[in-house]
Amino acid sequence: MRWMLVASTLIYALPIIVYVILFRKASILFEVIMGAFSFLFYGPTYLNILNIYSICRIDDISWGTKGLEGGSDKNAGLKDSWKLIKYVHVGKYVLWNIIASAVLLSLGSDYIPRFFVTITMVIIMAITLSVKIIIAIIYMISYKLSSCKCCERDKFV
Amino acid sequence: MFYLTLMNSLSYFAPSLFLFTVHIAMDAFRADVLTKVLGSAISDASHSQFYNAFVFTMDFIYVLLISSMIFFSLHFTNSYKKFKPYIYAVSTLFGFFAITVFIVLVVDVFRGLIDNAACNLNII
Repeated sequence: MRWMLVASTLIYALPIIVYVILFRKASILFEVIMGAFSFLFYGPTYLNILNIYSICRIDDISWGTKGLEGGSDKNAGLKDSWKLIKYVHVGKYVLWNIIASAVLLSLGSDYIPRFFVTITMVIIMAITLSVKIIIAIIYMISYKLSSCKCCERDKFV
Repeated sequence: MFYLTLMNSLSYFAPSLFLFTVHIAMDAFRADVLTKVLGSAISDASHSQFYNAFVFTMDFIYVLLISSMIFFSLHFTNSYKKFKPYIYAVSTLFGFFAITVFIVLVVDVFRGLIDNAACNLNII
């Protein structure tokens, strides 16, 4: 299991190696290592805080309307219904997360269920990472090939 | 389409998944560090209420932060005076949580790998 965890983390190295080989720019390694800490630090903010704030302000349409919606009381009923929908949505969000937390924590109290929960999470992480990495490598190779073609065309011209 | 749906569902359950990760990491921290550091003061590591309370206190702090953030986000906007410092503080605390989880899990993984390698060598 630990080897799987290490392997799924080391998949990150694959696009970096491909980038270094294709573009001959080793400084990207330093940038990735330095960026990894800030990525880790801000990860929960992006995943939790911004998500929660956006769900809790889903009825807020004040942005981008230049205050046009503020003066009229015509849509007061509509706003109230949006507010109700928002509370229902937030309530569902909280309830589902409480249920998921209770299930995960009760499964995590014993070793064997914890092993299976963790391995499922690692597999999901590895699959999503693999998809991203395969697409990134294909994109890098196609970009490199297209730029090489452009260089050759410029030489002929 | 499948990928986007999976990502949406993961982000929907992100608070509970992060709580589980924090719980696992704090459990590993309790077993590897806390019992050894405080071993002389609290002898019975497996049945001590203090060690068990540590993990659940961390979980409680996390849940408290999330709940208060939901409350603040529901009732105030970002223009409210006390909202921004609070969100920045919660964001920083979550960041420290994430860094701690990362360090604890990395140390735990490598310690496990080294111990397994030592066991295999002993068997050979």
